[in-house]
Amino acid sequence: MSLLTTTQVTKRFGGIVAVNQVDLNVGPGEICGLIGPNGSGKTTLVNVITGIYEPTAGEVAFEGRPIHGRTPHEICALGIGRTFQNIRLLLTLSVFENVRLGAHIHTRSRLWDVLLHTGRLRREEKEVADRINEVLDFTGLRPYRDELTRNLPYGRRKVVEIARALMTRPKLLILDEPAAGLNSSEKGSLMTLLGRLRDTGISILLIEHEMAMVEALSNRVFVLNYGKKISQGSFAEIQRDAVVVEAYLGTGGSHA
Amino acid sequence: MQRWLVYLKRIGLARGILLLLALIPLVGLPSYQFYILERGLQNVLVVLSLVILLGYTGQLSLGQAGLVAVGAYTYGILCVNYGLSPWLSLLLAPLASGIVGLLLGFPSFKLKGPFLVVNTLAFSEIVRILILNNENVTGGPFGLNGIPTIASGLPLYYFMLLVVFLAAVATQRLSRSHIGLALKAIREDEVAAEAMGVHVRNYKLLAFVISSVLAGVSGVFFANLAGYLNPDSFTINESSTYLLMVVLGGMDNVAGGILSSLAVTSLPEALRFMARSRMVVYSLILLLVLRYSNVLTLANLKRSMRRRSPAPFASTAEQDQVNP
Repeated sequence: MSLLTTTQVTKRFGGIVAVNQVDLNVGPGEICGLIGPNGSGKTTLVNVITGIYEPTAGEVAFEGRPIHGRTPHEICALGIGRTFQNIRLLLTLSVFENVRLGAHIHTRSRLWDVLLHTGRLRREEKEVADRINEVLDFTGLRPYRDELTRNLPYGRRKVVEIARALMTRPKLLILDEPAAGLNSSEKGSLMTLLGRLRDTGISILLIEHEMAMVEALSNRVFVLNYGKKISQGSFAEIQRDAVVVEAYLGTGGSHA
Repeated sequence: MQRWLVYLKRIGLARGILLLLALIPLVGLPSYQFYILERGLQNVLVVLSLVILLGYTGQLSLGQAGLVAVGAYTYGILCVNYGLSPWLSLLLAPLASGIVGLLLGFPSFKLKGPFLVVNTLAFSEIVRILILNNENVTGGPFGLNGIPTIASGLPLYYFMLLVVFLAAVATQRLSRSHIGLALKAIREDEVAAEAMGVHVRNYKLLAFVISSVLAGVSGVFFANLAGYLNPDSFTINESSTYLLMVVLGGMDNVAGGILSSLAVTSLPEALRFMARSRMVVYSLILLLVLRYSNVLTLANLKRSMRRRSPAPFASTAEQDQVNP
């Protein structure tokens, strides 16, 4: 059974069909690439999957249960973590606090525990701090633990977002263009990080323009163009697909 | 000196200030100055309510005076009209303002920026007009007279100080907790907070309720200090003064909020010798302080003391705004 399935998902904004009848599935432990030219509807599809938008038509199912129409925080609690294309971090807070936000859905202490500073709260805060340190070690952010996020360079902020998403202990991690805007050395360390992530057995839906990264990491790739899925298969397969080549390069006739 | 600082650090600045205030009666203050100090303490509670609502959660409210009024009048009406004991009324009044805060939260949680400000301001005016026009319950424009107090003199002062102390500790604990983090996440980026599993609506409502309860307690103290209630004491002027206090205090800083509410409360009194030019000088001082508040606020002072060197990545941070 696949972990995530979208069936005929359509998202319309007024007269514009941003996502048009897209079928897609990600299996357990699988890394799937989602590619397509700018404006092809990749991020809209992700926003539909994570509950920011409700699909105009079609279904989204996670672990066999329909999840479309649920709110983003419910979908996060079900086990879908994500990062954003245009980074959304808490800039005035430290890296530690940002990653700590990811532990929110696993925190059981209530307001009462906070005001009375109960044993449960202290125990839980210690557990969370330990896990944050683990995640910071895993992502290589440990040296920047107490740095304010706004003082970090762009590339490192992207890693903070990945660390924050990992703190939610997702079964499926959706990465929206993690390599965009990174320099080549940052891209290299991101590749290493994603490789190590793959080895942990987590499922990933990777939206990316960086083809080398998609090729190296993905088991399967879905290609969108103008909101429609135009191809799917292994990277080698879609590379040979004439429709994909045309979407990226054009037919060559008109502007020759 | 060094040891003194170590002690202060362990206690914390906010608690340190409040502990110092406990010593004031030992020094002795003329009764009017003492009254102003008590009014300052009462205002600290409203400022803490704004620290949570505005400082942590980022929800700008100009309706705090309305919530203070709900607390004050509930206490007064229960005591005077229904003959309830002051202590029971003391417990029921914040409950009432909390419920009203929840009701205010519902139309407010989807509103942002100027819309939220107008909404809270309108709420506050509605409360004031309701008080003004329900003369048989509230005394209307004639006010509510003969409100009994829970205590007076020093016992009242120490009781207020204790409540403010507990409220300050609670606010700081909230700030450090995962709940405070969720509130700050809403302030920074609602979409990110929601995507990380924060139930944004419920946490906003929670912030409104906690904030309203604190404002309600402040209202009870107001009634105790004045012994008389009049709708004119709960106008937009009061709400904007509360806002001024929390902004001067550094928005999300408890110690700063305590200091600034004490200072802003006593400033017009300290300027009384200037007679007619008093309010002009008061406004000028506030303008100057606000102009330089980025230097003066406690939060920044602490930050500049902690930072030995400029941020290591500050230069690249400028380029980051380019959207890929």
